[in-house]
Amino acid sequence: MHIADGCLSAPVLAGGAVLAAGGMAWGLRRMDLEHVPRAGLLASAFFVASLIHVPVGPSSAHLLLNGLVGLVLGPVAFPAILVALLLQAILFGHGGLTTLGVNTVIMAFPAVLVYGLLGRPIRRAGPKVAAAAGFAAGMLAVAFSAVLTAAALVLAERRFLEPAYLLLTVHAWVMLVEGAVTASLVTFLQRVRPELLNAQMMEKDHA
Amino acid sequence: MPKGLPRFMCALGLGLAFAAPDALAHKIRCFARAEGGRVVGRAYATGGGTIKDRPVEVYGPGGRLLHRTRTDEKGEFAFVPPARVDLRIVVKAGPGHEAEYTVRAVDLPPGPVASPAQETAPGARDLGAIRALVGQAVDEKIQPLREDLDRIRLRDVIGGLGYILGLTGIAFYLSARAKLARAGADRRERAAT
Repeated sequence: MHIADGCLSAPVLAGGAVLAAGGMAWGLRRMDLEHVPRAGLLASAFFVASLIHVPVGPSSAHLLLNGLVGLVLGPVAFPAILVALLLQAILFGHGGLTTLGVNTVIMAFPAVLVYGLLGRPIRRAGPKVAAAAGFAAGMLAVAFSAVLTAAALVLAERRFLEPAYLLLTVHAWVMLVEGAVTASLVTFLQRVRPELLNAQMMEKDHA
Repeated sequence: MPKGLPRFMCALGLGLAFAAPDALAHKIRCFARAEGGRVVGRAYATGGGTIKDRPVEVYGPGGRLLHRTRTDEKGEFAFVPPARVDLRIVVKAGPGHEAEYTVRAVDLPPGPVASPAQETAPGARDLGAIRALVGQAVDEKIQPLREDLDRIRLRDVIGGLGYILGLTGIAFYLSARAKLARAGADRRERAAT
């Protein structure tokens, strides 16, 4: 779901860059000392996750982990994902440099969204609810990313529904695996490192 | 051991078990050359996967669509050049994934129709034909090398993780400095009052 160079028109690229810059400013302002090691850890996980492929029929798709990144980092997901995408583009030829802004928005915006929607139950609730919320977060983040990818491609492909449908069906299986991985990581973190999921507390400290 | 860990390991194991080298999700490359009277080429993913049964579009100067075909089981395609012009070949592997390669007009055979004469070219001492044959042979030989260069290696992964570690260190330094500066200002303020 990384859009390569040359697939998008200039306005989409510029819009993506502006939105990504805004997200970066927001994320960097929120990033304090306690966020730094978490951001590094999750950027690494996101960077490597793209190498894990899930076969889907004739093709395959890879894990994204952006739901997990969002749940742990909140808005700090923007800088973490931007760094990981930049390195994926440079080292793996995955995505592209001109599309970095668009790809960052595609990955980081759903991450922050699931943090806003599901961050609270995961922080407050018991393990069962947290697992369910983690599963939903993993699935929803991938689904949002697929819809955003299709939206970015709409000008290039001149249609929205077909690429969106294609991306969602290809990623349906990824969504399940991603949901399972996110759910188990969330329950695991809640048990052994609950403070990692507690971004809210840190923000209160900060204020 | 915490209860969540085995479940996490199971999920991770499941993910890794399904990990496959066949990778549409990776960067798509495409390469083509004139061979005989045809243009033959291959599209592949940098992860080492093939691009099966995907549309291939051939554009002439000015973005005019000249020809359409599809890749076969091995990701290969072939067509008779519709005209002796620079041909921009675009392989559409999926939403957001496409690769292009341009075959220059000078590399195309002079006539629009394929002639088997080129196959026996060395006997004909036709310098142009010999050059074309050598070019073809070199292209064929370096194709695996070309694909190998695009492959993701372990050192790329480790290099990337190293970059992230370094950036984390810089971010640590910057935010620690900001925090220390704040603490210093607080102390001075308290000392002043």
